[in-house]
Amino acid sequence: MKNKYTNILKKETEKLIRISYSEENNCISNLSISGDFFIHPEEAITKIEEKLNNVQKDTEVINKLLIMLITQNNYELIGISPESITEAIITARPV
Amino acid sequence: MLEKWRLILDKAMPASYNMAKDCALLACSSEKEFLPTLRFYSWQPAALTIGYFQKIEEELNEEVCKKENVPIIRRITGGGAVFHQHEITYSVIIPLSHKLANSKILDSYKILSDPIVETLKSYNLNASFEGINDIVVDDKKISGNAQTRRMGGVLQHGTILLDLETDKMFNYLKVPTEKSKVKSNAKPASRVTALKYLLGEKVLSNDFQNKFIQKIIENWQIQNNIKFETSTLTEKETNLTIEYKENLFENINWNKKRTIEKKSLL
Repeated sequence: MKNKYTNILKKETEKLIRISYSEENNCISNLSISGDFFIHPEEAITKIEEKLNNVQKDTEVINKLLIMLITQNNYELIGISPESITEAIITARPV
Repeated sequence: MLEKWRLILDKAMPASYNMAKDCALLACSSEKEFLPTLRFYSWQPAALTIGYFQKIEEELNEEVCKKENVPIIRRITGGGAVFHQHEITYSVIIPLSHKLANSKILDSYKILSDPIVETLKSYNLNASFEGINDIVVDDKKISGNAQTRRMGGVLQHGTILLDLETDKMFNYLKVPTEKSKVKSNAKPASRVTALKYLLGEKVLSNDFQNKFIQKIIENWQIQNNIKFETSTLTEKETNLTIEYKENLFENINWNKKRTIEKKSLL
């Protein structure tokens, strides 16, 4: 059975991140990341959301995947970081 | 020899036109004949914009906005939701190859905002660039700035608040409690200021605003060793403005879901 999760995370030195996703068998689907941060190029957000679909809900797995994706594609993140995206996903609460 | 730039001084216009014009300028910024451009504009009617990565339903009280006929537009730049009413808005558009673009994105925010900081200082205000993209006076935000790099160019646009109608503003905006928790002041309204509270009612006059803009222009010229020529859009930029206005900023799918039906637009 799929459970829906949401979260709002605001780190002191970063912008606000809103997360929502579904979870089934400890796997993430329909992930949405929104907020007042900056990512260059902007379209990278769709790639990040897509890549995190069907991924195990595990801090190390998510963080590693994000760092790899950002490094390989030279994405520039401002006011948001792989660590804060990961934290927002992991600490999300069921709706 | 001073580098030649274009200055565009616009009247108050609707949000979709304002954003379309910035977009059209950016789309032409990598062309050989394009002159780096500084533009000033304002908003009629008052409007709300949300950042590229935001969702209307998460940031705004849509029902209230609808009831009061306040247009809602998604920007092509990141950052937060803004209520555009009593403000001076600027945009700067340069090709990616320009020396002012040739720095780290985070550094370029500060560089491109500096003439505004200097202008505020010239009124004896304790202004500084703070954090990622804000200008503050006495630790309160007076200006927010947002940048995108696409179509071979850099666009940075930002606002300088003249006055605040906080009740109205926070009636439209949903501010999550998480945002207040990490700031020193609990109420969002107490973290923002406007020129009226610092310099008095005179800031609402056209005369003051024209002089303020002239000071920014002078600081731009001095700091960047450039010379402005007042001009308008080229024919191509005018046509593109109409295209962006109709097909992007007045398109519900873009504003609601960030969907671009005509992929060649961005």
